Amino acid sequence: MIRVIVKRLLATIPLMFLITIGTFALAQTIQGNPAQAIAGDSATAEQLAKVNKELHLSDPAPVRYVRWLSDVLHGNFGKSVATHRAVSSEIARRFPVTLSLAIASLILMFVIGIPLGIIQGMRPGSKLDKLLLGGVSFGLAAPNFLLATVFVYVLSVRNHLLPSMTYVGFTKSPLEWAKHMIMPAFSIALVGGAEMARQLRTGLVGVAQEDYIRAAKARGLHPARITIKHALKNAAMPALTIIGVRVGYLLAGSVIIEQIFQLHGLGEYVLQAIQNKDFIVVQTVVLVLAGIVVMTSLVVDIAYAFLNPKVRLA
Amino acid sequence: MTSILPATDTASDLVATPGTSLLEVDGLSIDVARGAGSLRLVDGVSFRLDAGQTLGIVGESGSGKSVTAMSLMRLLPAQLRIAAGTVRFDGRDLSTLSEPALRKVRGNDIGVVFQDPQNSLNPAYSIGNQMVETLRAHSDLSRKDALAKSIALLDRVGIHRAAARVNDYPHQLSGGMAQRVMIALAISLGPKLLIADEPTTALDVTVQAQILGLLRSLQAETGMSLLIISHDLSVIAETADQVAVMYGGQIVERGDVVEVLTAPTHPYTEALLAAQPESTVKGMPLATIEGIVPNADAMPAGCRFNPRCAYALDICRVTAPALVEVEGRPDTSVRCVRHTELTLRGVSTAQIDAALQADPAAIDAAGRPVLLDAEGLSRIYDLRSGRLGRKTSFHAVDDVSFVLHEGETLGVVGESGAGKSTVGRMVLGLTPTSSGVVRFDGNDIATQRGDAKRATRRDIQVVFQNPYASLDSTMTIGESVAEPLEVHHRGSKSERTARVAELLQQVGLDPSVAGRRPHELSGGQRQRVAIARGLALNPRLIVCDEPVSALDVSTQAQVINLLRDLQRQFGIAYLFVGHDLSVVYQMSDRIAVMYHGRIVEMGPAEEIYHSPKHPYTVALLAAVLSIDPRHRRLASTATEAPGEPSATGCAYANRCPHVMDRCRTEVPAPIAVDAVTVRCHLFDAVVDS
Repeated sequence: MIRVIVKRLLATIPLMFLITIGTFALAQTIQGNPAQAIAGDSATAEQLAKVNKELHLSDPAPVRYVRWLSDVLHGNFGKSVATHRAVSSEIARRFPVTLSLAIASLILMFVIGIPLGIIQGMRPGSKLDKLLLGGVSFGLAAPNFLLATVFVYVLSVRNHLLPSMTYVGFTKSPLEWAKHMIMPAFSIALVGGAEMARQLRTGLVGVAQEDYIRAAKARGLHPARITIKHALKNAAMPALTIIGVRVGYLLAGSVIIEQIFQLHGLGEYVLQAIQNKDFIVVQTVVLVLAGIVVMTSLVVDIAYAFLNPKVRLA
Repeated sequence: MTSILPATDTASDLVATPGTSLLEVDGLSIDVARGAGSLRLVDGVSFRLDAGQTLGIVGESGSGKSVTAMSLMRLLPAQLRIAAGTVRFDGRDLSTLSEPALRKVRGNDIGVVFQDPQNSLNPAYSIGNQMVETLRAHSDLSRKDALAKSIALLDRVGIHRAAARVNDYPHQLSGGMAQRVMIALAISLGPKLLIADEPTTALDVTVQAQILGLLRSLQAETGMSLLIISHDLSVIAETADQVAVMYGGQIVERGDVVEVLTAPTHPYTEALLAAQPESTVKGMPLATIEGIVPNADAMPAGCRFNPRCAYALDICRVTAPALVEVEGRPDTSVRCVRHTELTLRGVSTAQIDAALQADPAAIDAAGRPVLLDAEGLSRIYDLRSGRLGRKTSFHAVDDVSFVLHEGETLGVVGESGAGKSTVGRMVLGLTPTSSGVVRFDGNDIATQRGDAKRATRRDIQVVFQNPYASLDSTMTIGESVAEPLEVHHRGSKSERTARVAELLQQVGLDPSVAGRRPHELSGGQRQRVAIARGLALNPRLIVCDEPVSALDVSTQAQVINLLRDLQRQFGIAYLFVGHDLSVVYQMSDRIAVMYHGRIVEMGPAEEIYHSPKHPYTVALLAAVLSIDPRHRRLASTATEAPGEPSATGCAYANRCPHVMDRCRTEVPAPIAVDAVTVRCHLFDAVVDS
């Protein structure tokens, strides 16, 4: 098991390296003339030259890449070209918000997906299963911004049941944190949860046909034990893959959701940066978000190894 | 008592004393839901099984035998249900018992061993975990004691180093090992009855013999009853006291195994026995049962066997016969209106002996031109294993050489993993060779390009094992057969259509089949289609990769006869890959026996079959089961799992009873002994002296 973890960890190093190249290249394509953007439209040629020199913008791209990479490796993400504030401190301030949203969404995804999937998968074709299938289809189809808007209108504006438009840190008050998080997180989590329910249902229905389930039944094991122990572990594998894929969507979704709920997270930050042609912020935030996706995939891989001895012992 | 296995019950328990019935099935019918209604799969099956006895249920696919076995403990899939009948076990009716009460019977009183052992173990848990779980579900053993008992059980079923292997996961076990584990699981609580559903069907011949031997020895030790379900008459002949022959969802004949097999009273039993390759003199056509097993939705009126029966009269097409006791044989019951007037042939020792002793005229292949010449073929796969990617290599095929003459059949026989199919694929050019040369008509096929390559491709065709997977389900039969003609631009569209009709006729199918799709045909019919496609380009060589392994006995005989007829007619050479020695013997002029990538013995089929030289060939032949219950070959003692193939020297060294020191270090070279070539150090001395 440890061998698998170490192996997977080592494999992320070249991947992260490739991602830095990707984000750097991406930032190059959006920048237009950054010096002009920074110095303002009325800047003189002298001012532009000064900005160019400060940011080494006239160096060839590979040179700038290597410099940036070395800065990043030293924990120096540079300064925003628009606000002149250190990117690292801005990220430190905003990261908890986005992380909160991501974690709350993931938890809700499990809370929605696992029970629904099990209930459906245990009795496929039943009335309850059909009803839930309808709900799952709705969840898959509903756009998150629409859900979010409806939630805000119904629950906050009309009925004042839940707060919106603010963020309370988890360490300050876990209850308030949860109250503030539930609407945005649910808006994001519904699609993933629905997809997870569907995968889990399909997985359980498939596993129920397996010889080893019949064999377990033939040994007189209790049906609940057969489902929870023998079926679920095997049926969970495809559902688990969903998580890895979903985290990317989740972060993308948070860009919109943060706007709707006025949460000052990374999504909002990157959106502003794009509008300001603030390439340093864009490449740094994209790098951080990509890092989160890679780490999630890593966790999923390790969980996979835990579930599947063929992977673990390979 | 030293045994770790509890005897099925104490002597004071009247139920378990021999001679009283443990299981009594009466009028059992099983329906499958079909649309709004239902279809009867099993119709009024009745039998009894006494304590300590073995009952064998034999039948072809679709006969309802496995469904019957699974219904006893209500292990049927959701869409199947018991429609009528009772299953009395140990005084209780299992068909109406409550789920919780039935759960106590499952595993505890009745154990089950399934057909596919590797899929019957949960891949996500170690075998120890699953054994401990089962033991603790039915007893109050502590985890530690349950583990100790599991290890003892694994040891009892012949698994080496059981204490270490208990932590293994199912994917780390071979098929034979997995079936041993399944048996250990099934007997762990000392059941009174063990149901074994096709327990050896997925296993190699030698492993089959060991598993059946193990079952018999466990039965002798514990006194449990055994219910064995098989499509293979020889499995039943080797193990059963009583036999029930099923056809079309009914029992057609039932009785003492010796009586039924030596003096059958139902034409189907007779036909099934006659279709066994063992009962036929080589070169003579195998007896076949024309037609196919009927489907539940299209059962013939009257006797269900009548469309295929050689003795059917008008009355058979109208009157459905009842299962009645045979006069003068109170143990035997039969479902045939003509049973009193017919005298049917059963297994005859004389006939089998005659078949063995017959010296069929082997074709004089040596005088014919060489068609295919394989020299030093190897296929090596690099495997990374161990901690930091230590490289090892696996020799799927190792230094294999043979020649095949025009119009000749070379049989390649061996267990799964022996590399026999890989050899076939290398000849076809589907698997590249790591080293070695395949020459067809004197030309190295690896270096051929363009037209020459296309010509060779035309001349070498293939028939695969699984006719269900080898035909494209979206294409009609006609399109499938015409495809090779199109690919090689043969004829106009109308000429191709005519050729397809001709080909279908040659393989014994009605040309109208061309418009149908694969799912409308039976397995045997599909294999005929696959053969027709193979014939389309008038090939000179057909690689037959286990062409009859997926077929029922009656259909298998039809396909073997067809292949031989086609060879006689068109002079095609066959490379016939198979695992069943009696089938390969029937087909082949010469046989190559493969073990772990190497040909260990090769020579004329008679020589190999009647006087095997290599210890592995000897073991392979010894493992062939008998279809005569009076002359069983199976030992009930040799139950230890065989050793793994040796990595150095002779691969067979770990299993060989004659192993010498040099066998473990030196790879034996091929040596000519009499008419055969053998790779074995035992013959070094013979040649040296």
